[in-house]
Amino acid sequence: MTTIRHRLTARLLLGWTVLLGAGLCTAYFLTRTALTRQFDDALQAKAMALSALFEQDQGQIELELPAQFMGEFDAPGSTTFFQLWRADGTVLRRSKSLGQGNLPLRYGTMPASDCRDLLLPNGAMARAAGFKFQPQAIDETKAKINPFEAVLVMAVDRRDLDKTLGILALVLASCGLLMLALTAGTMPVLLRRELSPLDHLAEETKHIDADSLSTRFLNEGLPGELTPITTRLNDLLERLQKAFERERQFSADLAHEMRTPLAEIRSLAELAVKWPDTRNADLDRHVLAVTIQMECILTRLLAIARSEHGPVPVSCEPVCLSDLISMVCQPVQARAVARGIAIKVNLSSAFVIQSDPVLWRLILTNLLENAVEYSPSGATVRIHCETQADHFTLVVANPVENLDAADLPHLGQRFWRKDAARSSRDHSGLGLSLVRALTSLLGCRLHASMKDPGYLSMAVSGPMSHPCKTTSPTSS
Amino acid sequence: MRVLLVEDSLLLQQTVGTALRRSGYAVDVSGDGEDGLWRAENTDYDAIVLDIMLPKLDGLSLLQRLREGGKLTHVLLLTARDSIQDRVKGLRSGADDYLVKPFALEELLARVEALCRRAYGIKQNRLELADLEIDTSGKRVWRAGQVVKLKPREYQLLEYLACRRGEVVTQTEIAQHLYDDDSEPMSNVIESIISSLRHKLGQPNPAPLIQTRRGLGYVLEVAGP
Repeated sequence: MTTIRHRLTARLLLGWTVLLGAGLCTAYFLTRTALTRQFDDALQAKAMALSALFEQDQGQIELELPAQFMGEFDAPGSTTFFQLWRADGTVLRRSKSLGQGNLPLRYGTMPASDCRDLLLPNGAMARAAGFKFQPQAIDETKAKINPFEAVLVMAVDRRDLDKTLGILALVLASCGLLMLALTAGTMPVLLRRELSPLDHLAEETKHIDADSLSTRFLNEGLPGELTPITTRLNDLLERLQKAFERERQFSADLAHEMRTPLAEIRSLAELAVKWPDTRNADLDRHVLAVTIQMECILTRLLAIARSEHGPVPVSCEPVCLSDLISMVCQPVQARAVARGIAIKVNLSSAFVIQSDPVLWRLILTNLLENAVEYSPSGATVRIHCETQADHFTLVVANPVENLDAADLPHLGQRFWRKDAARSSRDHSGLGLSLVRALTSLLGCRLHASMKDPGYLSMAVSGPMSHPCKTTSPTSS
Repeated sequence: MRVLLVEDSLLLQQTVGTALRRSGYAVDVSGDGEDGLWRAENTDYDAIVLDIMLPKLDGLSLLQRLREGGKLTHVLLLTARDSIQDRVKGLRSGADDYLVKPFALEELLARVEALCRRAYGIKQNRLELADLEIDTSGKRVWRAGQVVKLKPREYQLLEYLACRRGEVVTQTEIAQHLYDDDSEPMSNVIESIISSLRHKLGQPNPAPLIQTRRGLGYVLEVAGP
């Protein structure tokens, strides 16, 4: 498996090798250039000094050099060579070290500062320099008689220089290899040590599962590069934890909502089987009521699930909210009258929006049923509408008992009930969840508020005209 | 045996209560946590069937307060919560058993029976004393190898005495364990049942098993020589 450490090690080593190689090569070539220049300077100085020792006398050339100093040129195996020509190419003099060989005359026509490599007659490589000059006259008075120019080429065997450069190259290459070896040995260790916080983080992350979502990463002591990662991970864990808690709560609530009625039906059936005389019409009616309640829960859950996850067809046609409210009020009216609750609608019959009448009917039914159910006996449920430019707000307001502002955020949560025991069989805690999902489908927003304590307002606000998505044959 | 059922579902109160009564238990029913706690603290029940999600006081808090008050009555938690955490939490709160809804009525009855046995340190469903044998599951009795046919109350009294064999059991204790709060037994009904029991148990073998301790109560034991 490719790891950051392996990739970093490989790339750093490669980079370091390239840099080191370039550095060592540069060092070698600079040193070689300096040494060669030094060698050439010495060669040229020697040639200049030698040229100063040549004197001309009536067309002849004389060398004013004591014999002991000629050993450098004349001794067998000497590494210094020279040859002197007249300008016309007549050889005037050559060092004994040259034997019968010749140095190339053309080297004497090079610019004075130039030195070049040369293959000597003995097969060795040398550096050579040459120039034209006018030898001094022995007698100044006769200097003007037959003056001539001479060409001197001097060469020095460069094997010593090459040997020195070879040693230098060897030392530099050895140093380079040693440094590479040291780097290759220490870099993984250093990287492992420096990247250990990352390993630690990975190890900690590996142990997080659904049961340990409360784990949080500490930022203290972490490198700056990892802090944003741990911060994001902590945020993610917090969101996951909340989502898991919501799901657990939902599962627990759903379990309670479904398991208890199931337990009731099962125990009723088992009782009737074990003791047939206990069966009576009342128990059958109970079974029917429980079954209807379960069916209601399932229907609402399915409606919520579909609205949240599936493409729901929404039609767009004129909806007269006052007419719709009158229709919705009819089935609720009996319950309202029984509890002494009045429903007052303050809405113009001319108020028409462009939306889906079926979904609006569901929304209004749930809001109105809730209002009638949770209002104290003798209360009044008020429905009115406010418009502003191309938006409207429909408000269903009623007095409530046993509900305060802290409960408002929970309204609309699936299965939420003020009564933690969830004893009531008349409600499932799904009505407002469904309303929230449906209003969202219609591009509207459900908002609960309590301007006065004990007085709840459920407001649905949205555009006067909902952009038509699709038209469903089932929704019309 | 007397059992307390604390459950807020009226249907379950009705069905489970009926099933327990039909199985020979005296059953008190409570619909909320506060009432359930009050009953549990003030009556010596042989077992309590307790729902967790209850109005006024939830089942786990009820259980905790019951244990803090020193009551060791065996408790069966009956709940819709089925996660491992919920079970562990329930058992750690002091429950003796845990049953998830929906449940089989037979299983509930078997568990309640086991809890009632445990209340008297009995591990088997067969009680024996001399030539008397009682099958607590089948509610059947044999004396000297012969079946003894008993009425429900007679059987309940005999089983209770057998559970506490060798101990003096007062009439009050017998009344508390045989009758629920809705029953008001006549003053001499216990004596009448004892008399009937003695008669029926004496038919296969005349050696008396139910001894009277005057002014104290009754003991189920083999009479000394």
